[in-house]
Amino acid sequence: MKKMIEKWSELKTEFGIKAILDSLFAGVIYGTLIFVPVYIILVEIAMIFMYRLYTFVIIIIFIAMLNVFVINKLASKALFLKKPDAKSDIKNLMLIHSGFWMSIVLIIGLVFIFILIPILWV
Amino acid sequence: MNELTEKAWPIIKLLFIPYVLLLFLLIYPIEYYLDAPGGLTEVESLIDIDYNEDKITNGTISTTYIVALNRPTFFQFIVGYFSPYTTIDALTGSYADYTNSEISQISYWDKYTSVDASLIVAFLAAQNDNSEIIIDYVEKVLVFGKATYLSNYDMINFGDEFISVMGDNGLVNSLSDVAANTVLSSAYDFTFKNAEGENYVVSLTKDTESGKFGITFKTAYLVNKETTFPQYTVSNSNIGGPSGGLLQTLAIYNMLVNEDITQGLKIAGTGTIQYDGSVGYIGGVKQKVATAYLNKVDVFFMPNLDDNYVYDNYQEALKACEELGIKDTDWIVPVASFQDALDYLQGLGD
Repeated sequence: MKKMIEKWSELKTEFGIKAILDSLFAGVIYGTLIFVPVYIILVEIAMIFMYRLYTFVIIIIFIAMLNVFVINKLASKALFLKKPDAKSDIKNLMLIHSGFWMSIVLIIGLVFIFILIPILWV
Repeated sequence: MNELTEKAWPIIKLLFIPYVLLLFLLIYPIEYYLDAPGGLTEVESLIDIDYNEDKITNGTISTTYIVALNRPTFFQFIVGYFSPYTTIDALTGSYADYTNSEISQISYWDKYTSVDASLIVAFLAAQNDNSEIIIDYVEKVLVFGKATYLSNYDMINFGDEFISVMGDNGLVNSLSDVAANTVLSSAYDFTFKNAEGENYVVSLTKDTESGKFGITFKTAYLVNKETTFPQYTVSNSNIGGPSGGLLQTLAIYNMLVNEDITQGLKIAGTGTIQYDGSVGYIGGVKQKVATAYLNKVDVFFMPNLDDNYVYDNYQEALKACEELGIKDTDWIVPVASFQDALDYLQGLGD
């Protein structure tokens, strides 16, 4: 944990908060643009094959996790493009960052599977 | 952001038109309806009767829902076209004039009145053997259809209660007297009661072509909860329509009597319920049969009122089985009334 905080401060010193936020914003924008049609396709197929609802929910969870990974990948790419000779461990930091958000997505997905769908689908 | 955009610019340019086209296919609705298999909902999760709490029920009684998409997108149309279980057709009749939200409202009121009809039929049946059971209900006339030419269209909502109309010879409270008392003028003041229980007056003008006001009513019996015993709770449902009537009635009856009519089986089915206990036809037979088959139910009740009628649900179900390659059809049980279904289940226990 301590190492990670050190790595983040290194990144902050090297790029500045504005550049990091700009890269994350770019990742979110392009990542969302890529995945929006995928989500719509999955939801629309799930509506037709409702008897496989849980299968589709699981697929959507995995796709959402992939989406998070792609957002972070694009953000790290944006940072590299800003400073190709950057010394900070961007790849590792973004991997940890995406791991954190992927676990959040997984938890939300499990809440849907085990709590929300059984309650709402009456 | 700029660096990434610059780097990806050739790809963005190349994919822009296909991307917009894809979004169009995914979003643009078309004037069709699509029916697809849905699932089973255990009636116990919708209706809970505060009675016989210690009774052990070994089987389950479920209603069957299908997915009815009004105005699917192009993409859904294409996917549905290649699925053996779906039915796609042009949206016609009054439904073509309604928005999707209005269709949902009608569906909600269909469900609402069907639950009350189930409660009435089941309570009356259970009352025969147990005088402790009391059911009290009132007759109400509800708005169930609105034509496009209905004046003050947005003021009147589906499910609003008809109270009276100021007719040619004074106040008219009975729906059957409305036509005879609205002859001389072209516009009349109607009084309705909304969902919040507030009365409102609205002037309705007759359509010049049809000579009608453009409003459809349905007479429904709604249960008076306070004076009914045992008490019950109905959960909010996301699934609309009246086709769960028969199975709701069976499940409620099972909650009221001491015996377990399920016989440990997974029971499902479809069919509306009338106040006299008879069963009515439903739509989406093929999808309901597919849903039941995919969910491996033991008994599936299907309305069967006239073997010679081409759209008799049971006959349709047999055809659907043939189409879907389902060889064994013994699990589909034809019924014409609640009593038929009850006799069948009780017969299994003997």
